[in-house]
Amino acid sequence: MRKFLKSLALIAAAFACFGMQTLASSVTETETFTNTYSSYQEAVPIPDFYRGKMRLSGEAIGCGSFQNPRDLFVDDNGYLYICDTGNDRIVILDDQYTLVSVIEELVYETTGETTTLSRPNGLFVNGDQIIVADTESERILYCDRDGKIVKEVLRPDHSQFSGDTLFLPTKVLVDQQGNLYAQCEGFYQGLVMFDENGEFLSFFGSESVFASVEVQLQYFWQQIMSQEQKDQTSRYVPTEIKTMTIDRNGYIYTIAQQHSTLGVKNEIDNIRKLNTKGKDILVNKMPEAAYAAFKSAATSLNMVDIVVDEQGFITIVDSSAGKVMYFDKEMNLLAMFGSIGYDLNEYQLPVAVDCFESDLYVLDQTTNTVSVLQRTEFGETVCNAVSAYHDGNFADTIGPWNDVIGQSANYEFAYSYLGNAYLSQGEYEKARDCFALGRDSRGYNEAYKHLRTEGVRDILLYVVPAAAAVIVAVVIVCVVIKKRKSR
Amino acid sequence: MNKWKYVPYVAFHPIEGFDEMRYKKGGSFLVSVVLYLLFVFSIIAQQKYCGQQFLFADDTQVSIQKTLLSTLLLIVSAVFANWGFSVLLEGKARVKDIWILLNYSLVPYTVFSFLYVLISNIATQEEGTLLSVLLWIGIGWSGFLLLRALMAYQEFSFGGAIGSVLLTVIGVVIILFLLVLLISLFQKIFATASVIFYEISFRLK
Repeated sequence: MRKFLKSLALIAAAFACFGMQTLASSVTETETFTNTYSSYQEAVPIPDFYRGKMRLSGEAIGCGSFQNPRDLFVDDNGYLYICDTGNDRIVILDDQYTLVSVIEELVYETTGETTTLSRPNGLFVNGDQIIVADTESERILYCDRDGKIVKEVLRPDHSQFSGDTLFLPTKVLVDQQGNLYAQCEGFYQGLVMFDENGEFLSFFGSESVFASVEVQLQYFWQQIMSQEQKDQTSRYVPTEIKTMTIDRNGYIYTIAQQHSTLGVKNEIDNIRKLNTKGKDILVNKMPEAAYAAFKSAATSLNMVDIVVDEQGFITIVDSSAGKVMYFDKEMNLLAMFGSIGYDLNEYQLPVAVDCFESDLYVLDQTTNTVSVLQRTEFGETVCNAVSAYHDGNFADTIGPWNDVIGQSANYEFAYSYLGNAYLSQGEYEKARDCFALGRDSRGYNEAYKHLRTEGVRDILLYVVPAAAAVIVAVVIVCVVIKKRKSR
Repeated sequence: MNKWKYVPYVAFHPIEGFDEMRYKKGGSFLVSVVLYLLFVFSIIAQQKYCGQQFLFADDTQVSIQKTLLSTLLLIVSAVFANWGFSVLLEGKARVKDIWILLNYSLVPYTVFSFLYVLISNIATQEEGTLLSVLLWIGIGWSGFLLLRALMAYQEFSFGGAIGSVLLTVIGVVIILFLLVLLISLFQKIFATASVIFYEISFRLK
């Protein structure tokens, strides 16, 4: 018995050692766990894509601690605007992260009256104008950096906002024409759209109701119900939009609230890219198997903010697992990093994200800080290659992609992109091999199609003359034999 | 007739083939096992050896043991379910007969799926729809053979054969459910036994 227990203890000790060893190695290899999803249905570790550079807190900046900040914005000059919701103020930093001003008290330009913000939830900067969603005062304010109010947008004169319906703007943005879009709390008709003078225009980009079994059943019953019964049934309405952003081409990206009914729709299906008609035009070219793997991982995510940078890279933050997801414009998940914690690369409750050049800014509502993330060399190589590819310089991307593969052989998108680059250069065999390694069946199909056509063309070059020659020979022989016979 | 020659014979002449095979006892257990193994390999080939342009799922997870076990479980439970219901429906087939006829009627599907794998290596995704027709032909052919074989061996009418197939499906579900119950029961018994074992061994120390 002793012996048995001893051996049991030995096995347990071996397991413990093994566990500790793996723990130690994972700490030394990379500072953060950055991964992407491969078609092997699993998370694949890759070199760091972004790394935390510094963390800005209110005390360090010199304006006193932030309190539950909800939104941040970085303008074209790198100035940082933080919507400090709990303190009812807006903090502005310059590109060196030094304090420029704090807007606490606002003055109407026309009348000279003063006013304060009350729980502002979102802000947007358009040139010199700061647009603030002053949520609990039920208004949207246009002001400048000194706090001078230029324009005020109040509850629109529309039947949807009649009676006791509150107008609670939480997120705002302004498009290139100067139209204002606001997302209001508890409002499912989409974004509320105002023209540049603050006049109500329409509702924009409402979600559609997902036709789940439940919804269809209710539709069936409503066909045979009386009007009184109909009035008593609950209505299925589209889900609310959580957050939105606008890219340099004027497309508005929105993320909608998760559907509660049956959970049929996945969190990533809630990301939309809307054109001016409010139609979803998001392209998703992630290889099927990798997409499936990511999708199953994304069920537990809660995507809270989205930003699209100059080159079209899409960044999304998730508040439930502290993840930052970095997509290219075709929704290939280039990298996913971050987690819950107190490290420089970890967050407690990320609520907002914005970018300037290649830096990312993540606002953490619990620790009341802004994390500044810097792209690593690896990330820089990948991003340059991706944007060169999308600009159409396919030949230029071959070198960088080979570089990337040299640094991270398991990075499937690199093979996929490299295959596409070879494909555009007409090097179909190389392209096919790359697609095979990247397990991109769609790309493989393209390369294979070309190779097959070429192969058939090469063979036909010999087969057709040969067949013609054989036919002619047979005919001649037949004719000769016939003639000899008839003689 | 050689026992191997019945395989193509029943596939191409199902009407008289199965009757003849039954009365001349032409169905061989050995042949049926070989046919079953071929069927398993056709499934694995579909997951592993299709052209890369048709491989959408993860082909590193393909496992011969898993496929072998899961198909065997399904087929064996289908055999017993069919046999069980045939007793109620006054069928005449024995368990061995049902196993044999099931595997003989799988042949067209196996052949067509090997064909599918072969052609998928020279086809493109755009031609994939045409290609999947091949599989459907195999399924249809196999299904017809199965019905015909049940009619011959069990002496059912055509409707009776269809009915027995439907009942078999229900039977398979019941058998699998009972199996799951049984396994969880054994797991609990084993857990209890091991706890008692450890308890005693700690006290002995």
